[in-house]
Amino acid sequence: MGIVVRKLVLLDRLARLHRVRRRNPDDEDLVAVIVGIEADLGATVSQRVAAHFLGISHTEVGRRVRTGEVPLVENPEGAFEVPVPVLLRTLEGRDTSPAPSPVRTGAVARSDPAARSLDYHRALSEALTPDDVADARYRVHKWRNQGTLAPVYADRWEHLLSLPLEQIRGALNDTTEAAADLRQNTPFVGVLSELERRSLLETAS
Amino acid sequence: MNRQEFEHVVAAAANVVEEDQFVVIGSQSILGSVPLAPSGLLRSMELDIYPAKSPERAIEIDGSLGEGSPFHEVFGYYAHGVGPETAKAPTGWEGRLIASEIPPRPRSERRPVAFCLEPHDLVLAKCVAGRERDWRFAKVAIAAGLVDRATLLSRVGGLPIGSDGRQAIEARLPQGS
Repeated sequence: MGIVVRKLVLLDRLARLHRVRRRNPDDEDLVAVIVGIEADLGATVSQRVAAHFLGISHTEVGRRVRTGEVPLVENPEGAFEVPVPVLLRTLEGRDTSPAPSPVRTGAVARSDPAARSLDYHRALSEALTPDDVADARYRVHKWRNQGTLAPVYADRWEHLLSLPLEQIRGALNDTTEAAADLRQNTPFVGVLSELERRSLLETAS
Repeated sequence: MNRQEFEHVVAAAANVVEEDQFVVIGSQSILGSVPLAPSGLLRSMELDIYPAKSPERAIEIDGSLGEGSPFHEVFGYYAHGVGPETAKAPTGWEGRLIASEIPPRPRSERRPVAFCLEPHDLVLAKCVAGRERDWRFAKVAIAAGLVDRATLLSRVGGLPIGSDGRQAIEARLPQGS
């Protein structure tokens, strides 16, 4: 099996398994399988693979990259590729709004990072759905295992994310020191579109 | 965040703003001088950073690599664009920054260097922030022998806070192991 075909097979499996995971967020075996496939596939894929997966031309992917509809991230090897989570959301028809050009620095952006984080979480709490919570629980598990989320924060997030949605929203807006610490290690990504997220940054600056 | 992830963020920031020199403050700056720092000092997933020659462009780093970005989603860590005023460190801290070269990426012409807070300046900046996790950081750093209490005490007078605050820090600084 060629590399491209193999990656497409893995992407297809991931897309299906993530849909199943959202319906069964407590299934740890399922989470373990997904984490394993993601490790096998890698965090990013080439634009060529992305084009095949989305069923569009390479030229069209390039256009979407230029407009910001499809972001590229620099992986540890220095290659700029399409993030797998974004690709999966694009396939599902979620978050297709383009990102604006690099955030402008007409004004000096010196607002407090903690305040920016609170604004970000306040905004996402308004849009929060059970699927977003299920996705966050998945990321807590995955990042804990890969070592990027410290156990103390993973434990706190696991507890918080097991609570009713309204309580989670309340916690995301909490202004205590403990809440600020937790937000600094947030598993909530992809709830806001890139356009919304960057607009918040421009507002803060 | 570990040293490899630290290097990844700095290298990515270099490509975002197309500059090579960065100042790193906050907890992760310990990785500039102590690549294998104790895990108790590395509990956060964010890196506080700004371009040394153009701090105002830190917001561009947030845009591409910041909290909630695709970069954050993919890798589980991210960059916080900050500024020199964020570092509440003792007078002269900028002259004590420790340069940490970042291995060049195969496909990049950039040669990034991260100028990181000297460990004593970092611990004292954390003490000024004064949150419980900041005091835990100080305790772990002292216990690990990464900083010594005498040097810390000698720099308290240079902190950008009032005398009451300095006295409180002097009184609360953990003893060494």
